[in-house]
Amino acid sequence: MRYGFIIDNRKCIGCHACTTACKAEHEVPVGVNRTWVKQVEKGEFPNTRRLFSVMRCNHCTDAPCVEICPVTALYFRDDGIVDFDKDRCIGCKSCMQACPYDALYIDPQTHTAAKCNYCAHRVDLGLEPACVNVCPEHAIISGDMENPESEISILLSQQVVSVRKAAKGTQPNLFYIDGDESSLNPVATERHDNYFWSAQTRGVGHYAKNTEKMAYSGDNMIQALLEAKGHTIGATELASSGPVKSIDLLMGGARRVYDSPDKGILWGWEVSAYVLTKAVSAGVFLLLFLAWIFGWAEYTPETFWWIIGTGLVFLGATGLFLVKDLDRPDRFLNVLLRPQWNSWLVRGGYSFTIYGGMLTLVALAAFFQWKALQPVLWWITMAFALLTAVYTAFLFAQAKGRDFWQSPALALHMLVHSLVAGAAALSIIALWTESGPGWLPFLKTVMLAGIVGNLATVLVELTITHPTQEAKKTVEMITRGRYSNLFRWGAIAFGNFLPLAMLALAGDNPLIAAMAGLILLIGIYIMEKIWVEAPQRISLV
Amino acid sequence: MASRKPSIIERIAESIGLIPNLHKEEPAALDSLTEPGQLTNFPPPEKWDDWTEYEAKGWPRKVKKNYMIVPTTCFNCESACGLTAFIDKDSWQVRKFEGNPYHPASRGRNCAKGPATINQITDPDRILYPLKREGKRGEGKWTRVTWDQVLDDIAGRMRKAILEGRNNEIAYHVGRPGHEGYMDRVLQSWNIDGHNSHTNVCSSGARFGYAIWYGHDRPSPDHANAKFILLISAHLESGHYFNPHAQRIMEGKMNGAKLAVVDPRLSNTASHADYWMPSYPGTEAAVLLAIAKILLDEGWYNREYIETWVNWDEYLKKEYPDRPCTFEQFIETLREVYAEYTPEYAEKESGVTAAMTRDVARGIGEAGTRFASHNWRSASSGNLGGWAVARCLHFLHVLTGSVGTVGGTSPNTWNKYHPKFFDTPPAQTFWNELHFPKEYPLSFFEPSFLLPHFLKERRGFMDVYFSRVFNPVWTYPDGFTWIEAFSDESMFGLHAALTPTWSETAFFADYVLPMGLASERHDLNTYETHAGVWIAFRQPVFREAARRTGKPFTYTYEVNPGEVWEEDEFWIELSWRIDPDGSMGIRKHFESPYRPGEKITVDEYYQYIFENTKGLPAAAAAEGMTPLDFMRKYGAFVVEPSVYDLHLKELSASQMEDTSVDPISGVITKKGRGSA
Repeated sequence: MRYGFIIDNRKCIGCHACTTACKAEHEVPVGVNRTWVKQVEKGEFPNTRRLFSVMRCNHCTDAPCVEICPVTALYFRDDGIVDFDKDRCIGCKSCMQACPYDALYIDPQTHTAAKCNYCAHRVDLGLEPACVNVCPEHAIISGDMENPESEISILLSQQVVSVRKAAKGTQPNLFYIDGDESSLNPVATERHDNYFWSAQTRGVGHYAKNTEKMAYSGDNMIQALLEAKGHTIGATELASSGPVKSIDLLMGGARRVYDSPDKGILWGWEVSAYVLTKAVSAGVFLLLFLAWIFGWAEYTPETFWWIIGTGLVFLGATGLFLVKDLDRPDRFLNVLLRPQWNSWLVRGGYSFTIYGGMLTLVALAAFFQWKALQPVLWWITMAFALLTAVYTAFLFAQAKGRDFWQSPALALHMLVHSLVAGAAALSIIALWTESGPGWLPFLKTVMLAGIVGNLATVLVELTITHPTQEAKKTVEMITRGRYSNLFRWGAIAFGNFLPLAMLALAGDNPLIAAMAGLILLIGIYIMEKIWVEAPQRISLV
Repeated sequence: MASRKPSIIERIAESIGLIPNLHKEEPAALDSLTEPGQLTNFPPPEKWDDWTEYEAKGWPRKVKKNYMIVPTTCFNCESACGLTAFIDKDSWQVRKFEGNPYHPASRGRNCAKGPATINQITDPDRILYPLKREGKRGEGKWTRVTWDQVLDDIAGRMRKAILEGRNNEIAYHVGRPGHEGYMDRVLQSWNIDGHNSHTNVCSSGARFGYAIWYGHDRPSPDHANAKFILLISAHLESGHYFNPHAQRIMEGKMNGAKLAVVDPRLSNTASHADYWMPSYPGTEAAVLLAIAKILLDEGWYNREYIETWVNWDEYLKKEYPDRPCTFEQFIETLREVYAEYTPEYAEKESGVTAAMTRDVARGIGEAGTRFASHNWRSASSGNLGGWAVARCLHFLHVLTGSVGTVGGTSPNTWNKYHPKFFDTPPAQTFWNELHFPKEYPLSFFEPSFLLPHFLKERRGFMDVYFSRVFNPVWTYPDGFTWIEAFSDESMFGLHAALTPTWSETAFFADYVLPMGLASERHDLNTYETHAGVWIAFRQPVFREAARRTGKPFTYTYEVNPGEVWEEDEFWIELSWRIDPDGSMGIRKHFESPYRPGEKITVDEYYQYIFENTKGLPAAAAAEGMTPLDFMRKYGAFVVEPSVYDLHLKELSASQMEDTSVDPISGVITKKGRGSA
């Protein structure tokens, strides 16, 4: 049995009855939607029309949300429905990064992820989903697609149908009859930000808590929100801020006139910060290991203990940032205790937990002089440090909604950042600790090589031919758009070229090297902020 | 891929209490209504008294909720689509509204406004108790009063006015009627000419255009069976009767009908049109005249229909006495008259291209008797001379003979049920010039927007004024004049706002009287949604639930949220208090047909109507029920599944009694009312 949906656009009149019936059935709070009607207008008067597309979870056969969910809060039922369990959810929002269809939201009441679940509670009683029942036009057709006699199977066998983003390989089980590219393809139309509740950042969904805070503290919420969004666009400005011209031509001037609210940046500064702290934590040990195994430099016991300490403290900070990012921080233990092993959040969580344990063992072995254990312990620790350094690249790759994160160079990028961050941290530590022979030159070399490696990786990531419009648009945003100043001046000039020059010209001066290290750390944070944020600004719908 | 089986780690963590146990044994699952893989729309009606389903918000935990399902009708527009209220038997609250599969017009489906009724029921700002003004009008100060106080105060004032012959100082001003004939009866029983409506700023223009053609003032298109549909305005998203019509328009389209939409806006309806005709506002008639010309010139007209049903010979004799009185001559003459209305002329007037007008005209011509159309609001209400839009539109039906046909457009009255009341008071003996001023003898419906102006001119006084589901301050273009008049006690003596929601008008009233929403009131509904006849029963669902469970109550406000009441009972109570001893001749119209001399109950009122509804007693008996119980259970009844060609039905001898037949036109007249 496999349940699916057909949205018959020959009949949909864009009345939003499905939206309200769903809201009533599930008591979906204000500002978030399990199903909504995207409206796109194309053409020029009088040869123009408005297109309606009901948007919702596609109940994919190969659902990325299920794969990435660390705690099996999202799961497949035997009948093909992708259901969810709010009691397991930790609010990590990785499903929202993974879903290419923007089907999920954070419920502002439970602070957990939610989406269309095909009214599984009704289906189990033999009842149609609420949206199917209410639709005046019978434009939403549900049913078992494996039963050749079902209405949905017959329609699928006779009509030309399309799905959203087939190239994602998710195998959606929601099909559109008369689906139009200008509606189904998110890059065909610009997302407009012209009406008050067009963005959840104005106080609903994941951001509802901010609004509540403002409301209870007696602030003028509306004013604050308007200012926060610079939302004072006049009618003239609106008229002139049309969609991008190339797309205009391609799509006959299609305009997105209604869509569900934009969900904003879901993974914010906490995630960029955790990438940095994790890089430092793993990096310091990786350098220790390299120095030891290749004999590139000698470290003093003092340096060793600072490495253990830094590794553990930054690992702790990493954990805190991760928990801080959860919408249900009280459930953070679920990652380890209700593990869904395919999720890189779980694999990563276990990796750095084990890494922390191994660091402790390495420390114990050193303290109690268990010399024989050292090689084994150090090799294992190195392996988990490496995993800790790069697993985020695999997690980001699981976030199938964000095309830019699908870059194969991302793992290398993370590794380079980790080595540079480790060397940078150690060069600062070296200011007040005694360094062994060759230690400072070693750090300097790593930093220099790291900067070159980093620039090369970034160059590859930005210049390689991007497979999708979404990835291309992200790159444009970084190199020419809203992040271009931060990227050029912050991440590249300040974060790489300045320390490069400092190290090349005066890298033997420990103070200069330490300052270069500090700048490098700030540079990594800026770079990660851009890499984390920019792809989340691309509309998925 | 992810399996739902918890890992060993999770099992251990749950068992030692590190994390909550989510794997507790669940109570037995509920039975499915269907075989696996099959889905149905609604639980069967025999389960409506005791229906258990899983609570969506608890899912995937199988939290069971036990409901009583009670049908009613939506009150968010005039269509009165079916709703079913799911009453949670534990909390005694409505959890949600779904459609009613037994409603012949909405067929279990709804527009967005149907399920959204729950938002109105649970609106934290709604008025739940009768309020009386404190301080000055519009000051915003109110005290809660009892219904007894309200009734005594208003009834006393009305009694005095009627006894003093000031019947014209009482008026009832309605926005959304939502009922069938109830209020006409009440006003007549008070012997007042007190009906005022919003119709003059709404549908009266279109109604007039139709009425002068055939005495019926609205069309009833058979969209589902049409081959060509012409809509003037946006019937896929608004207007009467949105959901029922939208269903049938798209049904017709899916069966191959072509859709033309005259609408200056890119409405959702225009977006679905095969021909979108964005005419400049107010020029619609020009396009329609050009279509008429093409139908005449290219011979698409239906000779048989026109020859039989149009007084073409009278026309020729009167207008062209010199010409021979033949049908051919009539058509020739019409062609001459319409010669100037070329598609090019229409293009210049309206902006609709001549080519499109030709295409549409030929489409209509080809569809012939399967041509359906509608015109409601917009063009005919918003423009000077807008009535001509409806008139010209109906002309196209006359030309194609698509009046009352399958796929054509019928008079609305053919598809609307005329209920039989237990008592019909005589017509009132007053004429209220505040509503129908003599200087506008041709006004079709009350020029209601003039009321405050007349009061300012001191043409009269409103001693007791009811605004009912109506917001004139907001609705009329000069709302501030209404505020001025409402604020002045020398113009409005007492203003009671009967309203389900707070409004700008209620703000200036003396009493704000909360009246029920869709699920909190009784009404009989019947509308021309398609080529059939049906009735539906809007009922207060908590009252019905209380009745089913044997909870005692007398009035609806006792079981509704707060003390929200309904007009039906309010008018009965008020009328008895106006005339407590029956000496004014009012009380007798509110006495039970089943218990002589006693006050009629709202149940008896509907019992009588349902007992006298064609076919309903038999259908109820077949299920071992009374007609009233049948309607309480199903909420709707099909009186006639399909109605066509009533004009071809020969009148019986009894129908012909007391009639006169015009020797020239053949028009039959009964009691002063003609019917072609």
